[in-house]
Amino acid sequence: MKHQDLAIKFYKEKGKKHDKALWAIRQKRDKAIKGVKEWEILRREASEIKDYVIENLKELIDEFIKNAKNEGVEVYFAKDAKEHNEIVLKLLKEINAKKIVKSKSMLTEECSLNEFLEKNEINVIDTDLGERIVQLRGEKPSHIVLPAIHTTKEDVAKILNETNTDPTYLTRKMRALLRKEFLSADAGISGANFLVANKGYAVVCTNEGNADLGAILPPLHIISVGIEKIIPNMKDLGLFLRMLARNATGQAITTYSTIFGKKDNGKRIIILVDNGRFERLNTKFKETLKCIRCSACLTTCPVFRRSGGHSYRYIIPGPIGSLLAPLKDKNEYNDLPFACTLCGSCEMVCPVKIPFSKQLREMRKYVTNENIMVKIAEKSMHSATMFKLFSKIIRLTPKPILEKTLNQWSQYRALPAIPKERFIK
Amino acid sequence: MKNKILDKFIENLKKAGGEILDEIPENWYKTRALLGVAENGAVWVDEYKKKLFLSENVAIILDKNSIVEDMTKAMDYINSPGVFISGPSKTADVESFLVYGAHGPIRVGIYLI
Ligand code: SF4
Repeated sequence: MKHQDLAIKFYKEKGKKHDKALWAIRQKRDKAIKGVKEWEILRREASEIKDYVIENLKELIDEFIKNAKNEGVEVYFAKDAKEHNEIVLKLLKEINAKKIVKSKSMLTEECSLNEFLEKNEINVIDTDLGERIVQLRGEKPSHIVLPAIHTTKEDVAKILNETNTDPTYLTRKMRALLRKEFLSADAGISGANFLVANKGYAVVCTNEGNADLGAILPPLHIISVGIEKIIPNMKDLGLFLRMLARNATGQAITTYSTIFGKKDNGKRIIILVDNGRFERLNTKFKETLKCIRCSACLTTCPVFRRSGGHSYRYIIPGPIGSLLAPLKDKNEYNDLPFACTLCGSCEMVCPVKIPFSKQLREMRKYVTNENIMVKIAEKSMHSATMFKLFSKIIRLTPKPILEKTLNQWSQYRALPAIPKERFIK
Repeated sequence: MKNKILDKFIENLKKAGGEILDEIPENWYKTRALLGVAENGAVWVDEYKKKLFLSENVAIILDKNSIVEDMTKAMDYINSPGVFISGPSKTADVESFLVYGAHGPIRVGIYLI
Protein backbone atom coordinates (compact mmCIF):
# COMPACT_ATOMS: atom_id res chain seq x y z
CA MET A 1 0.00 0.00 0.00
CA LYS A 2 1.20 3.49 -0.81
CA HIS A 3 1.22 6.53 1.44
CA GLN A 4 -2.21 7.91 0.63
CA ASP A 5 -4.05 4.67 1.40
CA LEU A 6 -2.16 4.07 4.63
CA ALA A 7 -2.64 7.71 5.58
CA ILE A 8 -6.40 7.56 5.17
CA LYS A 9 -6.58 4.39 7.20
CA PHE A 10 -4.48 5.89 9.99
CA TYR A 11 -6.34 9.17 9.99
CA LYS A 12 -9.68 7.45 10.48
CA GLU A 13 -8.36 5.42 13.41
CA LYS A 14 -5.97 7.71 15.22
CA GLY A 15 -5.34 10.81 13.16
CA LYS A 16 -7.06 13.43 15.30
CA LYS A 17 -5.38 12.42 18.54
CA HIS A 18 -1.99 12.03 16.86
CA ASP A 19 -2.29 15.45 15.24
CA LYS A 20 -3.20 17.04 18.57
CA ALA A 21 -0.35 15.39 20.49
CA LEU A 22 2.23 16.48 17.94
CA TRP A 23 0.85 19.97 17.61
CA ALA A 24 1.18 20.36 21.39
CA ILE A 25 4.85 19.45 21.06
CA ARG A 26 5.32 21.89 18.21
CA GLN A 27 3.86 24.63 20.45
CA LYS A 28 6.20 23.68 23.29
CA ARG A 29 9.05 23.92 20.84
CA ASP A 30 7.98 27.40 19.71
CA LYS A 31 7.86 28.55 23.31
CA ALA A 32 11.33 27.19 24.06
CA ILE A 33 12.75 28.88 21.03
CA LYS A 34 11.22 32.24 21.88
CA GLY A 35 13.30 32.00 25.07
CA VAL A 36 16.51 32.11 23.03
CA LYS A 37 16.76 35.58 21.51
CA GLU A 38 19.65 34.63 19.26
CA TRP A 39 17.91 31.55 17.83
CA GLU A 40 18.17 32.61 14.20
CA ILE A 41 21.87 33.35 14.65
CA LEU A 42 22.34 29.88 16.14
CA ARG A 43 20.56 28.36 13.15
CA ARG A 44 22.83 30.16 10.76
CA GLU A 45 25.91 29.02 12.66
CA ALA A 46 24.64 25.44 12.90
CA SER A 47 23.95 25.37 9.20
CA GLU A 48 27.42 26.72 8.42
CA ILE A 49 29.12 24.19 10.68
CA LYS A 50 27.25 21.37 8.97
CA ASP A 51 28.12 22.76 5.52
CA TYR A 52 31.74 22.70 6.59
CA VAL A 53 31.35 19.12 7.86
CA ILE A 54 29.94 17.75 4.63
CA GLU A 55 32.63 19.51 2.61
CA ASN A 56 35.42 18.15 4.84
CA LEU A 57 33.95 14.83 5.88
CA LYS A 58 36.89 12.66 4.99
CA GLU A 59 39.41 14.77 6.92
CA LEU A 60 37.13 15.05 9.95
CA ILE A 61 36.65 11.29 10.06
CA ASP A 62 40.41 10.77 10.00
CA GLU A 63 40.84 13.31 12.76
CA PHE A 64 38.10 11.69 14.82
CA ILE A 65 39.54 8.20 14.45
CA LYS A 66 43.01 9.37 15.47
CA ASN A 67 41.75 11.16 18.57
CA ALA A 68 39.33 8.44 19.63
CA LYS A 69 42.13 5.88 19.48
CA ASN A 70 44.34 8.16 21.55
CA GLU A 71 41.52 8.43 24.03
CA GLY A 72 41.43 4.63 24.37
CA VAL A 73 38.41 3.82 22.24
CA GLU A 74 38.50 1.24 19.45
CA VAL A 75 37.12 2.47 16.14
CA TYR A 76 35.86 0.49 13.14
CA PHE A 77 34.70 1.74 9.79
CA ALA A 78 31.85 -0.06 8.05
CA LYS A 79 31.15 0.70 4.41
CA ASP A 80 27.59 -0.60 4.51
CA ALA A 81 24.86 -2.10 6.68
CA LYS A 82 26.04 -5.65 6.07
CA GLU A 83 29.59 -4.89 7.12
CA HIS A 84 28.31 -3.02 10.18
CA ASN A 85 26.15 -5.94 11.30
CA GLU A 86 28.99 -8.39 10.82
CA ILE A 87 31.36 -6.30 12.92
CA VAL A 88 28.78 -6.12 15.70
CA LEU A 89 28.23 -9.87 15.54
CA LYS A 90 31.96 -10.58 15.61
CA LEU A 91 32.42 -8.33 18.67
CA LEU A 92 29.53 -9.97 20.47
CA LYS A 93 30.70 -13.49 19.60
CA GLU A 94 34.14 -12.68 21.01
CA ILE A 95 32.64 -12.28 24.45
CA ASN A 96 30.02 -14.96 23.88
CA ALA A 97 27.20 -12.46 24.35
CA LYS A 98 23.66 -13.82 24.49
CA LYS A 99 21.72 -10.74 25.40
CA ILE A 100 22.24 -7.08 24.57
CA VAL A 101 20.47 -3.94 25.72
CA LYS A 102 20.05 -1.37 23.01
CA SER A 103 19.13 2.27 23.30
CA LYS A 104 17.69 4.38 20.56
CA SER A 105 19.74 4.42 17.40
CA MET A 106 18.21 5.19 14.04
CA LEU A 107 21.36 3.81 12.46
CA THR A 108 20.87 0.28 13.81
CA GLU A 109 17.31 0.50 12.51
CA GLU A 110 18.68 1.56 9.13
CA CYS A 111 20.93 -1.53 9.19
CA SER A 112 18.16 -3.85 10.50
CA LEU A 113 20.56 -4.92 13.23
CA ASN A 114 17.89 -6.38 15.52
CA GLU A 115 16.66 -8.85 12.91
CA PHE A 116 20.23 -9.79 12.03
CA LEU A 117 21.26 -10.46 15.63
CA GLU A 118 18.06 -12.34 16.45
CA LYS A 119 18.79 -14.61 13.49
CA ASN A 120 22.17 -15.27 15.04
CA GLU A 121 20.56 -16.16 18.33
CA ILE A 122 21.38 -13.00 20.20
CA ASN A 123 18.54 -11.54 22.17
CA VAL A 124 18.11 -7.79 21.58
CA ILE A 125 16.20 -5.76 24.15
CA ASP A 126 15.26 -2.25 23.10
CA THR A 127 15.38 -0.15 26.24
CA ASP A 128 13.99 3.24 25.28
CA LEU A 129 10.45 2.89 26.65
CA GLY A 130 8.89 3.96 23.39
CA GLU A 131 11.08 1.61 21.40
CA ARG A 132 10.35 -1.23 23.80
CA ILE A 133 6.63 -0.62 23.33
CA VAL A 134 6.92 -0.87 19.56
CA GLN A 135 9.29 -3.84 19.81
CA LEU A 136 6.77 -5.75 21.94
CA ARG A 137 4.03 -4.81 19.47
CA GLY A 138 6.14 -6.20 16.63
CA GLU A 139 6.31 -2.79 14.96
CA LYS A 140 8.89 -0.20 13.98
CA PRO A 141 9.12 3.29 15.52
CA SER A 142 6.71 5.74 13.88
CA HIS A 143 8.66 8.89 14.82
CA ILE A 144 12.41 9.28 15.32
CA VAL A 145 12.23 10.91 18.77
CA LEU A 146 8.80 9.67 19.91
CA PRO A 147 8.82 6.07 18.64
CA ALA A 148 5.45 5.11 20.15
CA ILE A 149 3.55 8.34 19.52
CA HIS A 150 1.00 6.35 17.49
CA THR A 151 0.05 4.18 20.48
CA THR A 152 -2.33 4.79 23.38
CA LYS A 153 -1.98 3.93 27.05
CA GLU A 154 -4.48 1.14 26.47
CA ASP A 155 -2.14 -0.29 23.82
CA VAL A 156 0.71 -0.24 26.34
CA ALA A 157 -1.42 -1.86 29.07
CA LYS A 158 -2.35 -4.59 26.62
CA ILE A 159 1.21 -5.62 25.78
CA LEU A 160 2.00 -5.76 29.50
CA ASN A 161 -1.16 -7.76 30.28
CA GLU A 162 -2.33 -5.04 32.61
CA THR A 163 -5.78 -3.62 33.22
CA ASN A 164 -4.46 -0.49 34.93
CA THR A 165 -3.84 2.14 32.25
CA ASP A 166 -2.30 4.82 34.46
CA PRO A 167 0.84 6.13 32.63
CA THR A 168 2.91 6.36 35.83
CA TYR A 169 1.99 2.82 36.78
CA LEU A 170 2.80 1.50 33.31
CA THR A 171 6.09 3.40 33.15
CA ARG A 172 7.17 2.01 36.54
CA LYS A 173 6.25 -1.47 35.47
CA MET A 174 8.37 -1.16 32.31
CA ARG A 175 11.18 0.31 34.39
CA ALA A 176 11.21 -2.69 36.71
CA LEU A 177 11.11 -5.18 33.83
CA LEU A 178 13.90 -3.45 31.95
CA ARG A 179 16.07 -2.90 35.02
CA LYS A 180 16.46 -6.69 35.23
CA GLU A 181 17.54 -6.79 31.60
CA PHE A 182 20.11 -4.05 32.14
CA LEU A 183 21.63 -5.90 35.06
CA SER A 184 21.93 -9.18 33.18
CA ALA A 185 22.94 -7.97 29.69
CA ASP A 186 26.28 -8.95 28.16
CA ALA A 187 26.70 -5.78 26.11
CA GLY A 188 25.10 -2.42 25.45
CA ILE A 189 24.58 -0.86 22.03
CA SER A 190 23.67 2.75 21.43
CA GLY A 191 23.77 5.35 18.72
CA ALA A 192 25.34 8.76 19.11
CA ASN A 193 24.02 12.24 18.46
CA PHE A 194 27.41 13.80 17.85
CA LEU A 195 31.05 12.83 17.37
CA VAL A 196 33.56 15.49 18.36
CA ALA A 197 36.44 15.29 15.88
CA ASN A 198 39.15 17.14 17.77
CA LYS A 199 38.60 15.12 20.95
CA GLY A 200 37.47 11.72 19.74
CA TYR A 201 34.37 11.84 21.99
CA ALA A 202 30.94 10.43 21.20
CA VAL A 203 27.97 12.31 22.63
CA VAL A 204 24.62 10.72 23.45
CA CYS A 205 21.48 12.60 24.50
CA THR A 206 18.58 10.83 26.24
CA ASN A 207 15.88 11.64 28.75
CA GLU A 208 15.41 8.18 30.19
CA GLY A 209 18.98 7.35 31.15
CA ASN A 210 18.81 4.07 29.24
CA ALA A 211 21.83 4.80 27.07
CA ASP A 212 23.87 5.47 30.21
CA LEU A 213 22.79 2.26 31.94
CA GLY A 214 23.57 0.32 28.77
CA ALA A 215 26.97 2.01 28.55
CA ILE A 216 28.02 1.61 32.15
CA LEU A 217 26.62 -1.74 33.35
CA PRO A 218 27.75 -4.36 30.79
CA PRO A 219 31.49 -4.81 30.12
CA LEU A 220 31.15 -3.94 26.42
CA HIS A 221 29.60 -0.79 24.95
CA ILE A 222 29.25 -0.49 21.18
CA ILE A 223 28.32 2.82 19.60
CA SER A 224 26.98 2.55 16.05
CA VAL A 225 26.86 5.86 14.30
CA GLY A 226 26.56 7.41 10.83
CA ILE A 227 29.62 9.34 9.68
CA GLU A 228 27.64 12.55 9.16
CA LYS A 229 27.27 12.94 12.94
CA ILE A 230 30.78 14.36 13.15
CA ILE A 231 31.24 17.96 14.28
CA PRO A 232 34.61 19.73 14.49
CA ASN A 233 34.98 20.70 18.16
CA MET A 234 33.51 21.17 21.65
CA LYS A 235 32.36 24.74 20.97
CA ASP A 236 30.22 23.37 18.15
CA LEU A 237 28.91 20.74 20.54
CA GLY A 238 27.82 23.50 22.91
CA LEU A 239 25.87 25.13 20.10
CA PHE A 240 24.15 21.93 19.01
CA LEU A 241 23.26 20.99 22.59
CA ARG A 242 21.54 24.36 22.90
CA MET A 243 19.43 23.56 19.86
CA LEU A 244 18.71 19.82 19.75
CA ALA A 245 16.26 19.28 22.61
CA ARG A 246 14.62 22.68 22.30
CA ASN A 247 13.83 22.01 18.69
CA ALA A 248 12.79 18.40 19.30
CA THR A 249 10.45 18.59 22.30
CA GLY A 250 10.75 22.09 23.71
CA GLN A 251 13.00 21.01 26.59
CA ALA A 252 15.99 23.27 27.23
CA ILE A 253 18.23 20.18 27.15
CA THR A 254 17.70 16.43 27.48
CA THR A 255 18.08 15.00 31.00
CA TYR A 256 21.38 13.38 30.08
CA SER A 257 23.94 14.59 27.55
CA THR A 258 26.79 12.18 28.02
CA ILE A 259 30.25 12.70 26.57
CA PHE A 260 31.85 9.29 26.11
CA GLY A 261 35.57 8.67 25.99
CA LYS A 262 37.35 5.55 27.21
CA LYS A 263 35.24 3.11 29.23
CA ASP A 264 36.50 2.71 32.80
CA ASN A 265 35.19 -0.78 33.47
CA GLY A 266 35.48 -2.51 30.10
CA LYS A 267 35.65 -1.79 26.42
CA ARG A 268 34.02 0.91 24.31
CA ILE A 269 33.95 0.49 20.55
CA ILE A 270 32.69 2.96 17.96
CA ILE A 271 31.57 1.76 14.55
CA LEU A 272 31.44 4.53 11.95
CA VAL A 273 29.01 3.65 9.20
CA ASP A 274 28.97 4.97 5.65
CA ASN A 275 26.09 3.00 4.07
CA GLY A 276 25.71 5.28 1.06
CA ARG A 277 26.56 8.58 2.73
CA PHE A 278 29.78 9.30 0.86
CA GLU A 279 27.97 8.55 -2.37
CA ARG A 280 25.22 11.00 -1.43
CA LEU A 281 27.83 13.75 -1.22
CA ASN A 282 28.00 13.68 -5.01
CA THR A 283 24.28 14.10 -5.53
CA LYS A 284 21.85 17.01 -5.46
CA PHE A 285 20.70 15.69 -2.10
CA LYS A 286 23.95 16.07 -0.18
CA GLU A 287 22.39 18.65 2.13
CA THR A 288 20.31 15.90 3.72
CA LEU A 289 23.58 14.87 5.40
CA LYS A 290 23.32 17.98 7.58
CA CYS A 291 20.38 16.51 9.49
CA ILE A 292 20.83 16.12 13.26
CA ARG A 293 17.65 14.01 13.59
CA CYS A 294 15.91 16.47 15.90
CA SER A 295 12.56 15.35 14.42
CA ALA A 296 11.09 18.86 14.28
CA CYS A 297 10.27 18.54 10.59
CA LEU A 298 8.15 15.44 11.33
CA THR A 299 6.35 17.02 14.25
CA THR A 300 5.47 20.18 12.38
CA CYS A 301 4.45 18.55 9.09
CA PRO A 302 0.67 18.78 8.50
CA VAL A 303 0.78 15.58 6.46
CA PHE A 304 2.85 13.64 9.00
CA ARG A 305 0.67 14.74 11.88
CA ARG A 306 -2.40 13.35 10.19
CA SER A 307 -0.96 10.30 8.48
CA GLY A 308 1.37 8.88 11.13
CA GLY A 309 4.92 7.66 10.63
CA HIS A 310 4.11 4.15 9.44
CA SER A 311 2.41 5.44 6.30
CA TYR A 312 5.89 6.36 5.05
CA ARG A 313 7.06 2.71 5.42
CA TYR A 314 10.63 3.87 5.87
CA ILE A 315 12.53 3.96 9.11
CA ILE A 316 12.84 7.73 8.93
CA PRO A 317 9.45 9.20 8.05
CA GLY A 318 8.19 12.74 7.54
CA PRO A 319 9.80 15.39 5.33
CA ILE A 320 13.39 14.24 5.89
CA GLY A 321 12.34 10.63 5.32
CA SER A 322 10.69 11.63 2.05
CA LEU A 323 14.14 12.73 0.90
CA LEU A 324 16.07 9.79 2.34
CA ALA A 325 13.76 6.90 1.45
CA PRO A 326 13.72 7.36 -2.36
CA LEU A 327 17.51 7.49 -2.29
CA LYS A 328 17.43 3.98 -0.85
CA ASP A 329 14.72 2.65 -3.18
CA LYS A 330 13.37 4.93 -5.86
CA ASN A 331 10.43 2.76 -6.91
CA GLU A 332 9.24 1.63 -3.54
CA TYR A 333 9.14 5.17 -2.15
CA ASN A 334 8.25 7.21 -5.24
CA ASP A 335 5.03 8.36 -3.54
CA LEU A 336 6.74 10.03 -0.58
CA PRO A 337 7.90 13.32 -2.12
CA PHE A 338 4.23 13.82 -3.06
CA ALA A 339 3.00 13.20 0.49
CA CYS A 340 3.59 16.88 0.92
CA THR A 341 1.75 20.15 0.37
CA LEU A 342 5.00 22.09 -0.17
CA CYS A 343 3.92 24.35 2.70
CA GLY A 344 7.55 24.77 3.77
CA SER A 345 6.94 24.36 7.50
CA CYS A 346 9.79 21.82 7.72
CA GLU A 347 12.17 24.33 6.23
CA MET A 348 11.16 26.94 8.80
CA VAL A 349 11.87 24.70 11.78
CA CYS A 350 14.98 22.86 10.58
CA PRO A 351 17.90 23.90 12.82
CA VAL A 352 20.47 23.27 10.07
CA LYS A 353 18.43 24.94 7.33
CA ILE A 354 18.00 22.03 4.96
CA PRO A 355 16.29 23.68 1.96
CA PHE A 356 13.26 21.39 1.94
CA SER A 357 11.15 23.23 -0.61
CA LYS A 358 13.88 22.95 -3.19
CA GLN A 359 14.92 19.43 -2.23
CA LEU A 360 11.41 18.00 -2.20
CA ARG A 361 10.70 19.47 -5.63
CA GLU A 362 14.00 18.05 -6.84
CA MET A 363 13.03 14.69 -5.37
CA ARG A 364 9.71 14.76 -7.23
CA LYS A 365 11.70 15.13 -10.42
CA TYR A 366 14.07 12.35 -9.39
CA VAL A 367 11.32 9.81 -8.76
CA THR A 368 9.33 10.68 -11.87
CA ASN A 369 12.12 11.05 -14.42
CA GLU A 370 11.17 7.74 -16.00
CA ASN A 371 7.42 8.31 -15.92
CA ILE A 372 6.03 8.44 -19.48
CA MET A 373 3.07 10.70 -18.67
CA VAL A 374 5.28 13.23 -16.94
CA LYS A 375 7.71 13.14 -19.84
CA ILE A 376 4.98 13.80 -22.39
CA ALA A 377 3.52 16.59 -20.31
CA GLU A 378 6.93 18.18 -19.94
CA LYS A 379 7.73 17.88 -23.65
CA SER A 380 4.43 19.46 -24.56
CA MET A 381 5.29 22.56 -22.54
CA HIS A 382 8.27 23.23 -24.75
CA SER A 383 6.46 23.61 -28.05
CA ALA A 384 3.22 25.34 -28.93
CA THR A 385 2.20 22.62 -31.39
CA MET A 386 2.83 19.85 -28.91
CA PHE A 387 1.01 21.73 -26.20
CA LYS A 388 -2.03 22.24 -28.41
CA LEU A 389 -2.03 18.61 -29.37
CA PHE A 390 -1.66 17.46 -25.80
CA SER A 391 -4.44 19.68 -24.52
CA LYS A 392 -6.65 18.55 -27.38
CA ILE A 393 -6.13 14.93 -26.38
CA ILE A 394 -7.03 15.75 -22.80
CA ARG A 395 -10.10 17.68 -23.93
CA LEU A 396 -11.29 14.80 -26.05
CA THR A 397 -10.68 12.09 -23.48
CA PRO A 398 -13.86 11.26 -21.55
CA LYS A 399 -13.55 12.22 -17.88
CA PRO A 400 -13.90 8.67 -16.44
CA ILE A 401 -11.00 7.49 -18.57
CA LEU A 402 -8.94 10.49 -17.61
CA GLU A 403 -9.64 9.81 -13.96
CA LYS A 404 -8.64 6.22 -14.41
CA THR A 405 -5.34 7.17 -16.04
CA LEU A 406 -4.56 9.64 -13.30
CA ASN A 407 -5.80 7.23 -10.66
CA GLN A 408 -3.10 7.89 -8.06
CA TRP A 409 -3.77 11.56 -8.21
CA SER A 410 -7.53 11.64 -8.72
CA GLN A 411 -8.54 8.94 -6.26
CA TYR A 412 -8.93 11.41 -3.42
CA ARG A 413 -9.15 14.65 -5.38
CA ALA A 414 -11.74 16.01 -7.77
CA LEU A 415 -10.36 16.55 -11.24
CA PRO A 416 -10.80 20.23 -12.09
CA ALA A 417 -13.26 21.02 -14.87
CA ILE A 418 -11.43 21.55 -18.14
CA PRO A 419 -12.51 24.82 -19.77
CA LYS A 420 -14.12 24.55 -23.22
CA GLU A 421 -11.97 27.30 -24.68
CA ARG A 422 -8.23 27.03 -24.83
CA PHE A 423 -6.09 29.78 -23.34
CA ILE A 424 -3.91 30.05 -26.47
CA LYS A 425 -5.67 30.05 -29.78
CA MET B 1 24.46 39.74 37.74
CA LYS B 2 25.67 36.60 39.59
CA ASN B 3 22.35 36.37 41.40
CA LYS B 4 20.42 36.64 38.20
CA ILE B 5 22.32 33.67 36.82
CA LEU B 6 21.62 31.69 39.99
CA ASP B 7 17.90 32.49 39.84
CA LYS B 8 17.76 31.42 36.24
CA PHE B 9 19.59 28.19 37.03
CA ILE B 10 17.12 27.35 39.81
CA GLU B 11 14.13 28.21 37.66
CA ASN B 12 15.30 25.97 34.82
CA LEU B 13 16.34 23.15 37.15
CA LYS B 14 12.79 23.11 38.49
CA LYS B 15 11.36 23.13 34.99
CA ALA B 16 13.43 20.00 34.32
CA GLY B 17 11.89 18.34 37.39
CA GLY B 18 14.91 18.87 39.63
CA GLU B 19 14.87 20.33 43.15
CA ILE B 20 17.03 22.44 45.45
CA LEU B 21 18.03 20.60 48.63
CA ASP B 22 18.41 22.35 52.00
CA GLU B 23 20.26 19.33 53.28
CA ILE B 24 21.34 16.04 51.81
CA PRO B 25 19.08 13.17 52.91
CA GLU B 26 21.03 10.28 54.36
CA ASN B 27 20.40 7.46 51.93
CA TRP B 28 20.70 9.48 48.74
CA TYR B 29 23.58 8.87 46.36
CA LYS B 30 25.89 11.82 46.64
CA THR B 31 28.20 13.32 44.04
CA ARG B 32 29.54 16.72 43.01
CA ALA B 33 29.21 18.83 39.90
CA LEU B 34 31.99 21.00 38.53
CA LEU B 35 29.65 23.33 36.71
CA GLY B 36 26.06 24.48 36.45
CA VAL B 37 24.33 25.92 33.38
CA ALA B 38 21.75 28.66 33.89
CA GLU B 39 19.91 28.36 30.57
CA ASN B 40 18.80 24.76 31.19
CA GLY B 41 19.43 23.85 34.83
CA ALA B 42 21.96 21.19 33.89
CA VAL B 43 25.05 20.35 35.93
CA TRP B 44 28.29 18.85 34.67
CA VAL B 45 29.37 15.70 36.53
CA ASP B 46 32.63 14.01 35.59
CA GLU B 47 32.39 11.14 38.10
CA TYR B 48 30.61 8.78 35.75
CA LYS B 49 29.52 6.02 38.13
CA LYS B 50 26.90 3.24 38.05
CA LYS B 51 25.15 4.58 41.12
CA LEU B 52 24.58 7.93 39.45
CA PHE B 53 22.06 6.11 37.24
CA LEU B 54 20.99 3.13 39.36
CA SER B 55 20.02 5.12 42.47
CA GLU B 56 16.43 6.28 42.96
CA ASN B 57 17.55 9.53 44.58
CA VAL B 58 20.62 11.52 43.66
CA ALA B 59 22.04 14.60 45.39
CA ILE B 60 24.55 16.72 43.51
CA ILE B 61 26.68 19.30 45.25
CA LEU B 62 27.31 22.47 43.26
CA ASP B 63 29.27 25.62 44.02
CA LYS B 64 27.02 28.67 43.47
CA ASN B 65 29.94 30.46 41.86
CA SER B 66 30.44 27.82 39.18
CA ILE B 67 27.29 28.53 37.22
CA VAL B 68 27.69 29.77 33.67
CA GLU B 69 25.13 31.37 31.41
CA ASP B 70 24.78 28.83 28.60
CA MET B 71 26.12 25.64 26.99
CA THR B 72 28.54 27.43 24.70
CA LYS B 73 30.22 29.05 27.72
CA ALA B 74 30.16 25.75 29.61
CA MET B 75 32.27 24.16 26.91
CA ASP B 76 35.19 26.45 27.80
CA TYR B 77 35.60 24.46 31.00
CA ILE B 78 35.10 20.93 29.75
CA ASN B 79 38.13 18.88 29.02
CA SER B 80 37.18 15.32 29.82
CA PRO B 81 34.32 12.85 29.37
CA GLY B 82 31.37 13.13 31.74
CA VAL B 83 27.69 13.95 31.75
CA PHE B 84 25.36 16.94 31.82
CA ILE B 85 22.37 16.11 33.99
CA SER B 86 19.23 18.19 34.10
CA GLY B 87 16.69 16.90 36.62
CA PRO B 88 15.55 13.30 37.13
CA SER B 89 15.28 10.79 34.30
CA LYS B 90 11.96 11.14 32.51
CA THR B 91 9.79 9.86 29.71
CA ALA B 92 6.57 10.74 27.96
CA ASP B 93 6.39 7.57 25.90
CA VAL B 94 3.11 6.36 27.40
CA GLU B 95 0.61 8.53 25.56
CA SER B 96 2.60 11.74 26.06
CA PHE B 97 2.18 11.81 29.86
CA LEU B 98 5.34 13.10 31.53
CA VAL B 99 6.61 10.63 34.14
CA TYR B 100 9.70 11.17 36.30
CA GLY B 101 11.88 8.14 36.89
CA ALA B 102 12.21 6.37 33.55
CA HIS B 103 15.36 4.24 33.88
CA GLY B 104 17.47 6.49 36.06
CA PRO B 105 16.80 8.44 39.28
CA ILE B 106 13.26 9.43 40.23
CA ARG B 107 14.48 12.46 42.18
CA VAL B 108 17.53 14.63 41.58
CA GLY B 109 18.36 17.42 43.99
CA ILE B 110 21.06 20.07 43.83
CA TYR B 111 22.74 21.11 47.05
CA LEU B 112 24.22 24.56 46.60
CA ILE B 113 27.31 25.60 48.54
S1 SF4 C 1 15.85 17.60 8.63
FE1 SF4 C 1 16.18 19.33 10.05
S2 SF4 C 1 14.24 19.45 11.19
FE2 SF4 C 1 14.26 17.43 10.20
S3 SF4 C 1 15.11 16.04 11.72
FE3 SF4 C 1 16.82 16.74 10.46
S4 SF4 C 1 17.65 18.51 11.51
FE4 SF4 C 1 15.63 18.14 12.38
